[in-house]
Amino acid sequence: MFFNSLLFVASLIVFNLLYHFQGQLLKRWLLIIAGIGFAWSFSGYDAFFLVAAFLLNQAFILLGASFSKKWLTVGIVANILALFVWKYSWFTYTIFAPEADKLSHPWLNFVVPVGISYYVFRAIGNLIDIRNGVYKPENSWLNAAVYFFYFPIFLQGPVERARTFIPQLNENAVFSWANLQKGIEYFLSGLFLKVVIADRLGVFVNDVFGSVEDYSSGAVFLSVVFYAVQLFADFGGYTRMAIGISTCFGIRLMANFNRPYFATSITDFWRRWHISFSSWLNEYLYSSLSFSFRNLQQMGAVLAVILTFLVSGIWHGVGVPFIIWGLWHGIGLSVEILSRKKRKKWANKFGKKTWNFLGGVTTILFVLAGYVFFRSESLAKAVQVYRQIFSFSSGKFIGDDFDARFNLATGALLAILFLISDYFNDKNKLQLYLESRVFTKRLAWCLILLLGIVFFGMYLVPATFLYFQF
Amino acid sequence: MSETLVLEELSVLFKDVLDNGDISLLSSTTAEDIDEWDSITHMMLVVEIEKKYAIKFTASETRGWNNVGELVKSILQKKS
Repeated sequence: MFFNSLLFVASLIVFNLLYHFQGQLLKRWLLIIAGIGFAWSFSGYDAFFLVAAFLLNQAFILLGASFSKKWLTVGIVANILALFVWKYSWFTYTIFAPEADKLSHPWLNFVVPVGISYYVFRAIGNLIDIRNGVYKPENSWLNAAVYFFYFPIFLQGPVERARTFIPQLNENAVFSWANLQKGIEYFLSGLFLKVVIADRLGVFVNDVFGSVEDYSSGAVFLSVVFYAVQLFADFGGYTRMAIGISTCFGIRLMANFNRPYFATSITDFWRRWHISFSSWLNEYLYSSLSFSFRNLQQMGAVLAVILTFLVSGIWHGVGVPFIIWGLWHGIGLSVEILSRKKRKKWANKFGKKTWNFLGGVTTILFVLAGYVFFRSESLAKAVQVYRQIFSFSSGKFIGDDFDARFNLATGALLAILFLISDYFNDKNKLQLYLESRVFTKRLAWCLILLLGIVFFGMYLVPATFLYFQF
Repeated sequence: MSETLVLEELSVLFKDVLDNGDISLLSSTTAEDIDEWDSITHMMLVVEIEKKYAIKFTASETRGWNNVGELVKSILQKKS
């Protein structure tokens, strides 16, 4: 069950009606049951894994507190191994046996449990925090369970930290109309981004990536640009919905995006894109690696960055294109590390505005080039996309039917409007502006979003999200 | 060695490593206050501080400072 399905929206309304009238203890139990139920809506297997992962992690925390901190390290290794075995064992095996047949090796070919990449990363972060003394685990298993099973962040994050999430539960938030109103606004704007913008752009992107050779160079390039907007609207939309749902319960979640496509460097891009995940990598992986390699000076930082982004690529998906995408960003950041002083001199020479503009254009082109690998299911497909773009051929630009043309025209218009609004959304200004308006104006805005969703939304089956696959 | 002296020495070191002559450190200064101070330059600063004071930090120490004042205290503890 995805956030953009009618069943989910109906269940959410019923859950809210039930939730807000209960005491704090029952609220916690309701969130736990909802979390397990949400995982169960995908399959019993997914719910079983989630519960098993929680119990095992709690056991490691208990052993760490009762006996030795080494148990926390064992827990961290166990989480990494679990993720590796369930997600990458088949891919690793095929590196050594490329002709291997999936059917004859069922013990290597596991079904990846839904949400595993996210809850395992949250669990690892929690164990590291406890081991480093950054966070002292509570005695309350109930609070720990609410954090682990919390359904708004189960599928695609944000990769929330236990040390910021669990203390909020002890604030015992009570029902607030202001939170409910804000939550609904967030949820609707997220749903609008997903079903009106992302899914509409996705039609053109899927058509072009489905038969690259039939399309002109311009169309293929445009599909990569549209994919960038689609991915942002899709994942950003999901995050807004998660934040909206959580706001209704009085629980604050991390921001995941901050105008990423207006970044002025690749380093800046990673401070703005998928922030909860990139800050996780920075905090738990890069900082340890760069500390270990610190005597290598700048080359130590380069090595740490490349390894961190290799892990990022592998986390995002199984296959060579994701590894190349990770390395692509790792190399880009390395170039920025090595040219830091020179770039500063050039920035002074050109002036800040010109330099930021040039940096912005270079960064977006770099990010788009990486998306070709991110979107392609194989290396051969990525190469084909590049060949088609640089062949400067004049094939088909768009399908002949009215639907395809309508989709492209409205998709392009909405993409432009979305990017313009994002440009002005520095520090969430637009939401804050909305919150300063009177109730009737806010209600009118919600109605506009709702009408947009009903009349211009695309209702795809299955109603999936792009980042769900990771 | 006094806190003020270490703070002055660190200001010079920060200016040099971060290539920003305008830096003037206070005990309350954090990475938020200096554009060039990020996770990458943080480790470069750590290396230079270790060299200058002939000390070695642990990984958790390098992650634990909330501001320059805490860094200064950490240096003074190691030198005492």
